[in-house]
Amino acid sequence: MIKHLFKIIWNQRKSNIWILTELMLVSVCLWYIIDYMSVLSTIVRTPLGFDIADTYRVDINERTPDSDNYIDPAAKETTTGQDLLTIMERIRQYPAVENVSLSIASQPYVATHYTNQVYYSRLFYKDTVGVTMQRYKVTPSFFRVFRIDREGGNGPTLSDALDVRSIVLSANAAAELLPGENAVGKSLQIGKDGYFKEVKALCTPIRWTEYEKSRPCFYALLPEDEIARDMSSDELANMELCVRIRPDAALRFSDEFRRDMATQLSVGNLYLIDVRPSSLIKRAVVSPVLSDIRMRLFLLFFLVVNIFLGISGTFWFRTQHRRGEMGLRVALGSTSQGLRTLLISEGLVMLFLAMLPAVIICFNLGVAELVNIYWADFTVSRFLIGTALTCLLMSLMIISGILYPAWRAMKMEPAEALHYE
Amino acid sequence: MYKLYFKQALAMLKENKLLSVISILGTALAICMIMVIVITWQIRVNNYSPEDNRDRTMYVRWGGRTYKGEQRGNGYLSLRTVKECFLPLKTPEVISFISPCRSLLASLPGGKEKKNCLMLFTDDMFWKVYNFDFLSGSPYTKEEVASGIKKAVITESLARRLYGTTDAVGKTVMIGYKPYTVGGVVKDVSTIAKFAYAEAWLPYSASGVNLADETWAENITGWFQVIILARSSSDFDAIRKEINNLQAQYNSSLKDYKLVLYDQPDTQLELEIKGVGAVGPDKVRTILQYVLTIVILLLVPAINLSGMTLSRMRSRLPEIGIRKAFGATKGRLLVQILSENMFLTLLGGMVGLVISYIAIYLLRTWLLSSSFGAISSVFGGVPMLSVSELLNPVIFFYAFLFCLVLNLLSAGIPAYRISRKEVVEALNEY
Repeated sequence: MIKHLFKIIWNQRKSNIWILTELMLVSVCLWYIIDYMSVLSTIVRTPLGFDIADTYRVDINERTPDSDNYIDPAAKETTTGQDLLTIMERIRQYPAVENVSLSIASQPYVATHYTNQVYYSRLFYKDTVGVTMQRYKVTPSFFRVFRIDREGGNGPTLSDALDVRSIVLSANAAAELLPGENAVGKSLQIGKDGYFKEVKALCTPIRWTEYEKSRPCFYALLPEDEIARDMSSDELANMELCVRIRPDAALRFSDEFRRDMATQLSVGNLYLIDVRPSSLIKRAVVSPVLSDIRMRLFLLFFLVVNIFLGISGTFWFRTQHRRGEMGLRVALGSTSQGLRTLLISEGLVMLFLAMLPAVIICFNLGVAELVNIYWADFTVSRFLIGTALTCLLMSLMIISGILYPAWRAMKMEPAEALHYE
Repeated sequence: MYKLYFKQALAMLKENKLLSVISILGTALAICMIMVIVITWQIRVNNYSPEDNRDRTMYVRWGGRTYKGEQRGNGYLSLRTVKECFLPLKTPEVISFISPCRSLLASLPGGKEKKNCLMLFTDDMFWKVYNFDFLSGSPYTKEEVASGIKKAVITESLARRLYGTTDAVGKTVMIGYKPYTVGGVVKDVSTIAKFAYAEAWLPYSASGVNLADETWAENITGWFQVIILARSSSDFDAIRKEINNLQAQYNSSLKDYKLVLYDQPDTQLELEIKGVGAVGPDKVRTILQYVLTIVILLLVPAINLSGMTLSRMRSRLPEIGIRKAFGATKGRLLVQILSENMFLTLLGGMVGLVISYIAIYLLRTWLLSSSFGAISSVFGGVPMLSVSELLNPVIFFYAFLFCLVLNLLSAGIPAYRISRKEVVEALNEY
C-alpha cells in the first residue's frame, strides 16, 4: 500500500508541493515551540535550593554629618559594625521573628556576581585551572532563615558546619571540582595563592532565580567580630539583613515592625529605612525576565492555534475535495475502514516526506545555537524528544483534519458520490 | 469599478458568514500580535514625554577599567571623567550628567508621613535635556548646584502625599533626615521615560550620599552617567569622534589605569538592545530576531488564510469562467480578487489594531517592564500610557503595511492560480 500511496502523491505533485512546503515550514515552527516549552518547563521545575516564604529584608541607613541627631564619630563609643550587630540582636528579640542573619551578596534573587576561582590540589598534582564558583559570605543563621538544606542525610547541620576555617560547598560544585569523590573533609584553596579551607558539609545546588541554571557556589563565614571591627559606612549598603518570621505573624508584619521597632533600631547613627518582603524583591528582579517569557508564550500559543487550524483546515478541504474519488472507491468495494486507513496513511506519508528536510533544518537551528541554550544544553536527547513530539502533534492535527470529512464522504450514497466524479 | 468590488465583497461576506468570520478573526489576531510587538518597540524607542528628544539623545552609562592592559571590571563614570571627557564637548547642544536612582526616605519635619522614594541626583542642565511639566516652582540653577544648596524638585503625587497639595514650593522636606527646600513640583513621570524617571530630583552636590570617585582606580570610575543632547541625529558621528579624541587625551594623562568606553555613546535604540549591561547582545542579531518573529507571525496565519481563500475561490470558479469568456483579462481578475480580499484583510486589521491597544493597556506592566521599570513598579509606579503618544500615525501606517503584506501572502498565490485557469476548465465546473 505504501507504494500505492507514493504513486498517488506523485500523481498530484503540483498541488501537493504546496502542502508539503506548508507542512515543512509548520513542522519547523512547531519543533521550535516544543523545544522552548520543554526547556522552560525543565528550568522552572528544578528546585531553587532556598525558600523565601515569610522572609523579609531590613534596610538600614546611616545619618550623615548634616542630618538631625547625628553623633560625631569622635564622640561615639561603638563602631558602625557594632551598632549593626546590636540592631541584629534587637531584631532577634522581636517576638514575631524566628531567625535573623547578615550576609554579603548572598540574598536570594539579589545576589551579585562575586566569584572566586577554587582549586583542589592533590598529592603530586597542582591544580592550576580550578573551577569558578560563586562566593556567598553569610552568618551561620543564614541557612536557617532561607531553609537551605544539606545534600545527603548525615552530619552536622549547615549552620554548625560553617566556621572561620571551613566552607559549605554546593553539591554541583563538588561534582565539578572533585568528580566521583566525596568532597567532605577535603581542603580547597580559595583564589590563586589564597587561603585553604576545609569542606565541612555539602548543600543542595542553589540557583539565582527561577530562570537561571544552578551554578557552582560555596558559603564562607561572615564572622561577627569582622563586622564589628572592619565594617565601614560604605559597606553598609551591601549588608543584607534578612529575617524569617513566624508564619502566623505574616499578615501585618511590615507595618507593625516599622511601628514597634523604628525607635529601637535607631542605634548610633543607624536608622531603619524600610522592611521589604522577599516576594517584592523577587518580583522586581524576576519581572523583566518573566514579562519577556510571557510575551513569548503568548506568541507561541497564538502560533500553535494557527498551526492547528491551518493543518486541520488544509486537510479538511483537501479531503472534502476528493469526495468523488472516495465515492468511486466505495462503489468499487472499499470498506469504510480501508478508506479511512488509506486517507490517514496518505496524510502520514506526506508528513514523513515533509519532516525529512524539516529535521535537517531543526538540527541546524540547534547546532547554530538559535534555540535557547542558556537554560539547558542542546543535547541529542533534547533534539530527539522534540522531534518525536512534533511528529506526534502534527500527526494528530492531520488525522483530526481528515476524519470528519472522510466520515461524511463515506456516509454518502455511492451514486451521489459518482455524480460528483 | 472599485465600488462594484466593494459591493461584491460585502455580498460575499454575508453569503459565507462562517468562513468570513473565521478569516476576519484570523487576520485580526495576526495583526494584533504583530502590532503589539511593533507598538511596544515604538514606545521604547520613540520620543516619550518628558523624554521628548530621544531621537537626538545619546547616553554613556558605563566606564570600563583596564589596569596595565588587563580588564578590571566596569563602573559608572567618575566626576573627574565626566568633567574631562564629556563636559568640554563642543558639538552637542546640551551635556548633562546624573547619578542613577536610589531610594531614600522622604518625610516631613517631625517625621510623621514617611515614604521611601526613588531619587535621581542631577546637574542643572538635566532640565534642559528633558521637558518636564512644572506645576509650580522651577528647577535648580547652575549657581545653586555649584554652591550645594539643598533644593529638591518633587512629583505631584509625592507633594500630595506629604503636604496634601501640589502648591508645595518653599516648604521643607526631609530627605534621609536632612532638610531640603522644595524648589518645584512637576507632573508625574511615567516609568516608560526610564532615564528621566524619579519621584524626586536633587542636585548631585547636595545629595547627602557618598558620590566620591573611586580613588583606587585613579578616579576614572564613580557614580555618574552622561546624557548628550545633540542638535540633530546627523551630529552623532561627529560627537563620537570628539569623544574619542577627548578620551585618548584623558587616557594619556593616566598612569596604569585606562578608561574604556566600549562602543558608547549609545543611541536610544542601542540602549534598548543592550538593556542593563555595558556590552549587550549583538545589535544586528537582535534586530534580525525581531524581523524574523514578525515574518513568522505573518507567514503562518497567511498560510492558513490562503487555504480558506483558495476554497472560497474554488466555489466562485464558474463565475470567473464566465467573466473570462466575456473578455476579462488575467490582470483584471487578479486585481479584483486581491482587492476583495484586501477589504476583508483591512477589516480584520482594524479589529486587530483595536485589540492590540486593549492588550497593551491591560498588559502594560508585563510588556513595558524593563529591569528598571520593574524596580520602580515595585515602588508603586505602573507605566502610565499617554493616548496621544499611542495614536501615532506611524503606527497606523505600519498596521496598514502589514495588512497589505498579509493580504498579498494569503491571497496572492490562490488569486494567481485561479486567474490563470483555462476558460473551458472553469466553465466545466459550472
